[in-house]
Amino acid sequence: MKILALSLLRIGDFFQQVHLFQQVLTQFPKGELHLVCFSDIKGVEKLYPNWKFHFIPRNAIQRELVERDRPWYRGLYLMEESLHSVFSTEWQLVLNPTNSSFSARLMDCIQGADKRGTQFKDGQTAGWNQELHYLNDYYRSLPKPEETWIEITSKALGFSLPPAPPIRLREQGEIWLNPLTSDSRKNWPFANWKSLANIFVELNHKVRILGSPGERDWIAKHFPKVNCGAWSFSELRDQAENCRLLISGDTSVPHLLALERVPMITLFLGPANTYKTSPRLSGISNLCVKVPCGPCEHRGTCSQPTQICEDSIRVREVVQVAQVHLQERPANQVILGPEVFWIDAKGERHEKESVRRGSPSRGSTSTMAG
Amino acid sequence: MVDLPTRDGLRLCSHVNPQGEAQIWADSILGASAGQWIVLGVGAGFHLRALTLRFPEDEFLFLDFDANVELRAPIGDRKKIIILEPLFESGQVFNQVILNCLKTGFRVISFKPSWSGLETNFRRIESLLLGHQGECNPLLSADAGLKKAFFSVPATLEINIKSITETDQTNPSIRWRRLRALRELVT
Repeated sequence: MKILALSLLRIGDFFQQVHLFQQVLTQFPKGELHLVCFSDIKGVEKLYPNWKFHFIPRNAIQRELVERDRPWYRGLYLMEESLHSVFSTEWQLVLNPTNSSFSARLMDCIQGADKRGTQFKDGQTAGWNQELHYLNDYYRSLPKPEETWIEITSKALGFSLPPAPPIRLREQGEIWLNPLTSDSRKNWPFANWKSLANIFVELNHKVRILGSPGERDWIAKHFPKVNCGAWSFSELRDQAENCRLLISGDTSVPHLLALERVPMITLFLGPANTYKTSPRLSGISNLCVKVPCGPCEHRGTCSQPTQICEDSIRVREVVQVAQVHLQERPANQVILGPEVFWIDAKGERHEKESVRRGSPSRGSTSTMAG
Repeated sequence: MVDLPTRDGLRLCSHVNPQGEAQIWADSILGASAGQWIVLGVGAGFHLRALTLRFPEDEFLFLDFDANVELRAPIGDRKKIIILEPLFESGQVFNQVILNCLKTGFRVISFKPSWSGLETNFRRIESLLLGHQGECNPLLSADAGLKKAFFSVPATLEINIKSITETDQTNPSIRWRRLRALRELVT
């Protein structure tokens, strides 16, 4: 059975979609999975050798379409070259977990017996169901939906994901810090990462700073006292067993390492929304902020004179939550500041009581006064 | 003073400072290396030399309609000059020029002074290479639906992907649907 899925988002979204793809293959164990992705995320190909990837050179196509001294029809040529086998195959199942205008139009160019997800058919929108309407019309505006993005996306395509798997505890290993994300609004201040690294070193933990291979010199310069993990995604996955605890912003790394069931603390800042894109793993912690402007829109810039959310999570809060994961501190001794809430390993939300009274919480809470 | 060529008495470059004019033209080209350039108009060759020096790693294809071009500046080995017939067939140019460059991609640039006396021909080849409305190359005209959409764009509007897919079609052709998808990448 030939199955095609359009995965035309960023790399972190791809790693979230892997849960869906695994579920699809559980349901169709003899299925041959093909994926259409943008070439920006070509690095994932090595991670899944059993899946067939078709990469669209988006940047090159966009350049052909917008630069006046280039022939715009070469954009069409590049698309047809990169998707030649996709367009010429009669697929049994075509899935669109991307939900973008481009992917919906692309669905109209693909031949398939069973096409699911946002799509056009002969130039008109088609294929709607209740979940797709919910996802398309309401989900984006919901601050605290009951299901994560990948859960509702999977449902819209007719697949229910199993419960999130539990973390796999490591008795030994390093604490990995991943300071950079692709969006500056999701970044926690660099000085905080430095302090965090120093504190863990003083507490006799082995610390490693993660980054891409191109960031090796940058890491060595700014974190001379700790190990450097400037790795490709396949190297990162190969080393995952050595990670006792990951601390990261909301970026691709926690989503990849969630597939390896690595214990982690994720910091949700700027547009990152813990209720939508929490790593799909039970037993992890998410530290989030309560600011009037957040979570902000995914596209755009910070609306505030200074990014107030990045200063809301303090180093001591991260250290204390990490100590809970490392079983060095009981959970009830975590002291949270007024702008922070913590979703703990059991999925319970903790926040400072005085703030909760002023701003009613929508979820289950247990108070941990500081 | 170098003896500079003319066409029907018209100058093909500055006769005062051709090197300076060529340098200003080459410096005005925005963007990075193209890999492959198609330059419309050979003239006396000063602008070709300036361009090849500015992009030393690139390949160059120079097109002209004048079989009597007289180069006054050395332009190196990374070049090929094609002299076209004034009434060229678009299919022939597509096979001879465009097909060879489609894989690598190319930029089309013009040195307008060298068009003197042959402006209509040069405008036509530029239109064909860039996919403007005046000429529809075989890549586009093979699809009847797309060809129709292509020529339904007002003559005053230079063709781009938005204008060609502006109106939704009933039973759109495969090519039109692909173009409609591509439009989403730039809107």
